[in-house]
Amino acid sequence: MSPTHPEDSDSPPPFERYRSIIPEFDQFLGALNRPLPTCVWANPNKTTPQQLERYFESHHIDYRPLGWVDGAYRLSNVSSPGTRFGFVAGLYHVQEEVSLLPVELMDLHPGQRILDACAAPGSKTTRIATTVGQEATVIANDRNFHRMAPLARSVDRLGITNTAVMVHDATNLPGHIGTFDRLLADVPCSCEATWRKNHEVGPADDADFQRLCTIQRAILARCLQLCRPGGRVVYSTCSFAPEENEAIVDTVLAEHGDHWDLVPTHIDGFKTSPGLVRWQDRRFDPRLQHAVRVYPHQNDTGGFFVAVLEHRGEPHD
Amino acid sequence: MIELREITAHQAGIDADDRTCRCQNIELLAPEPIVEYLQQLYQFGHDAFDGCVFFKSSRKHIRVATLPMAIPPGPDIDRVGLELLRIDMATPRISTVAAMTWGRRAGRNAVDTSQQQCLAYLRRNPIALTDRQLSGCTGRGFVIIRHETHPLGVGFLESTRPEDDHCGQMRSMYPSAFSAELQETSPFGNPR
Repeated sequence: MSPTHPEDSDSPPPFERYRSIIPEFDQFLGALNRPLPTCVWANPNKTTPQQLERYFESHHIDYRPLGWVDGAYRLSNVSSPGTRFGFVAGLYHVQEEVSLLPVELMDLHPGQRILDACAAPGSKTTRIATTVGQEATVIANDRNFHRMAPLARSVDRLGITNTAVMVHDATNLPGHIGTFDRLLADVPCSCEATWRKNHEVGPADDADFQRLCTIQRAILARCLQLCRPGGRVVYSTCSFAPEENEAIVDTVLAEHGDHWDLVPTHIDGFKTSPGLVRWQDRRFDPRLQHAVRVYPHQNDTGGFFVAVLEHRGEPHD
Repeated sequence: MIELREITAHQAGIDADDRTCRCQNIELLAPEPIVEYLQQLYQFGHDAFDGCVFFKSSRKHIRVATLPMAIPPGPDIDRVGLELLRIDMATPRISTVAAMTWGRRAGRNAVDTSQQQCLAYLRRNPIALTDRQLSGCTGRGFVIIRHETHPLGVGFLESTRPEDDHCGQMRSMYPSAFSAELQETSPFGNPR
């Protein structure tokens, strides 16, 4: 990642290269300068949305339910939601709104075996584990043992009993871990779409792309290999760069595409843009229009890219 | 004390073989003595751990998980489920995270604190319990701390006997790592 505005870290980085693909580009730039809203979700292991709303009211916390995902809220008058009683007691978890999206698109059901291939720091893992219920098995993997500490702490605080933590390089996951019904490949990326939260990040340069894209392709390809017939792999990044998004899925689909579909995605109440089918002089698999891009001005969130790949085989009982 | 008894994966009713469990350093345990111990202490209810399996993850700790079926074998697995009990002490102690998870169900040896007591507990300060709070406790030992019905962790109650100097004194056993973040900021949003 390259800090791009060392002279003024509060100015948006030069996302000009995306002017041709981001709708309402001036609104996009304007949204980058606004603070990111605080988002939390109710932990079903310890409370219900109704009980959490009563907690917010009794503790004078202003909340607004998100229109597109149940049990999740924007808080407007809390500066440190991670030190409030409700958080300490495990009633809610703090997570950036847009990063709820890949888990919503996983189509989770009890009894599934699920792998979060790049789990640290663990918000998506905890969201998966609490959404799918206790009758599922979740494996949270990351190659960095130290980055797993926050995940372990969240698992403890939220009372999650269906999750095992594993430390391994996701590009080279061993075959003995078996196969999965659902896999999340939320791969390491330039993180440029998190600029509203972290002004240290900016657009990646060519060297970053070369390094990251090799890893991203390898992780996605390995996840496809570990997916059961009829299963689903969700690929996501917090990057606007087509090099880290459509180009990765396109390349991996070219190698494995005979058995895979890209699932059309639509979420009521959440604005998205379709995935790109061309960027600069490169054309992508037309099915990539089914991927989704999220820009900060569309829902007042950070940015994200999600592609949902589904295996064509019949699921086993 | 708990009479721990090892069982096979098949006896535990999980979809894993004993080799898999050994690879993960998991020693599966019969649930009855553990559930009964916790029932005696806290009256969680006999169905509180339905669907759970128990295992020793080390000489010191028993962990709990819901059906750890098809967890991969091998040294890559770092942890499974939640820590339930610490057993290398005279009286096995329920963990903070287990108290947080099952403590709402506790029918005895659970203390519902005021906001001031709760704040003291979270900052690892001692608390003096009222007679009413003591009435739900069976004696010296580990009690579950709650506030507004939400369990937060474990405290050590020195005595419930009125003739003792330390009657009603409770030591906070809230983990120092958790507490550090709450020393400067009140979780209730009030000025410190």
